[in-house]
Amino acid sequence: MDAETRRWAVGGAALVLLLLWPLVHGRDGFPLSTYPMFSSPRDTHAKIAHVVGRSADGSAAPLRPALLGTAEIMQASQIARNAAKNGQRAADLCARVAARVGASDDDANIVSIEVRTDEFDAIAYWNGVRKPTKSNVHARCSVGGSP
Amino acid sequence: MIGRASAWFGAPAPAQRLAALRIVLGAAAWIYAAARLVDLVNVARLPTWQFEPVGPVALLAAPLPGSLVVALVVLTLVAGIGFVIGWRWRISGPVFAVLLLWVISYRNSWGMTFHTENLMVLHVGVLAASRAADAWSIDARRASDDVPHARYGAPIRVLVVVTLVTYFIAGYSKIANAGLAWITSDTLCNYVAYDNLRKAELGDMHSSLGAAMVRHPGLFPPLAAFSLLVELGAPFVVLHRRLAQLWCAAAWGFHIGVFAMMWIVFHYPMLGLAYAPFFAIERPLARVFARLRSLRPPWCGRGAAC
Repeated sequence: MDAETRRWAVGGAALVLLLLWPLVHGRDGFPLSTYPMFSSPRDTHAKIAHVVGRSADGSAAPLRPALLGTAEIMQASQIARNAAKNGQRAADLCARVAARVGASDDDANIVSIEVRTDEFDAIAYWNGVRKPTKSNVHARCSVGGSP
Repeated sequence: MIGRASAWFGAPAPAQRLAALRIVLGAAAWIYAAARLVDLVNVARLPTWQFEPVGPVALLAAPLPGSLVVALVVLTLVAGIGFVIGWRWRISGPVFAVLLLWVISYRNSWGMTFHTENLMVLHVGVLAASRAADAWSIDARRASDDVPHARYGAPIRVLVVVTLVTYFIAGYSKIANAGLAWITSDTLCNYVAYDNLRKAELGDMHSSLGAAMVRHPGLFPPLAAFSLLVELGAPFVVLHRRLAQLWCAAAWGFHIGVFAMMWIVFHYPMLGLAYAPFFAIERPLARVFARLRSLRPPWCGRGAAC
């Protein structure tokens, strides 16, 4: 093994230790990660913070991520989750989304926005029980001054 | 064992193999960054309270000005071109690796870490520290090293080890957090149900297959056992070429399964990029280059210089 290959061996070993380091302190990060996704025990309870658009007929549907300011569904989820922790943030998010909806021709049927957390039984959901077991509305606002 | 590991690590490889990895993995990272351009830039518009810095971005106390965010993304793409074509490698290689790490970390610093990007960033970092532009590059257009050498093989082994270690960590986290019950309990079934529900309730596409499978929980323990076998078994395939290639097929199948059941796209492994360092990828690339060279412009053969 020449000197350069030895340097790679030492550097590679150091990199492996660095990669394993998050397992020691238990904190996830980037790019050094514990890869925690899907690793914890999980029951059937699902708590979803999301932003919902309500039409004039009263029906509600979740809004696409672009209206929350991102193209990524998971980032949209996180934005809604963070907003749900604080009433002022929820109101701010609601107002921003309402402004985007108001400016979008595709969403002309939406008259109000809700930042809300809904709870479901995940297994029951896929067996046809789609209604939340519990709901909490953090902020509600109208689109373009509609009632 | 140590002797065998040493022989494996120090085995020579052609400069073209490392160069092929630079071209393929570098181009993939560049395309990824370009495709995510809007996302990478749009985080500048998010409210400050959403800023939760990760990785090197943790050095910042507050978000960067929007114009600087845009400038860094543009610089990343410019440096990425130098990385892929191997132009002024000693500068473009490390600059692209550092900027890619920064802009991806910055995008991940707004409440959601995308674990699909770790390996791509790590691979680009390892390549940047290597002699990946000694062949098939602008820098090497006059003289390229055709003799296989350990200095080209060693970085490739590091890329292989990095891939395997990331899988091992994912498996270890499952055992550490849930124990063997991760296999025997309904955990995986509940995750598939939850993840698809979340997508449906967030207005995204979900997997109909995963939603249907949830009604048959008995399907999940074998799948959970398979995924843990792939993850925890990763380090043990390192010294056996055939076993390592079999592992690549199993790991790829695992990601295809995740996609089918949860609609989660791990683009880097699904496109085979995570496993490229396990193979002699310079051979198909050399055939592509030969084919490109053989394509003569239409005016050739009519007395015009070609």
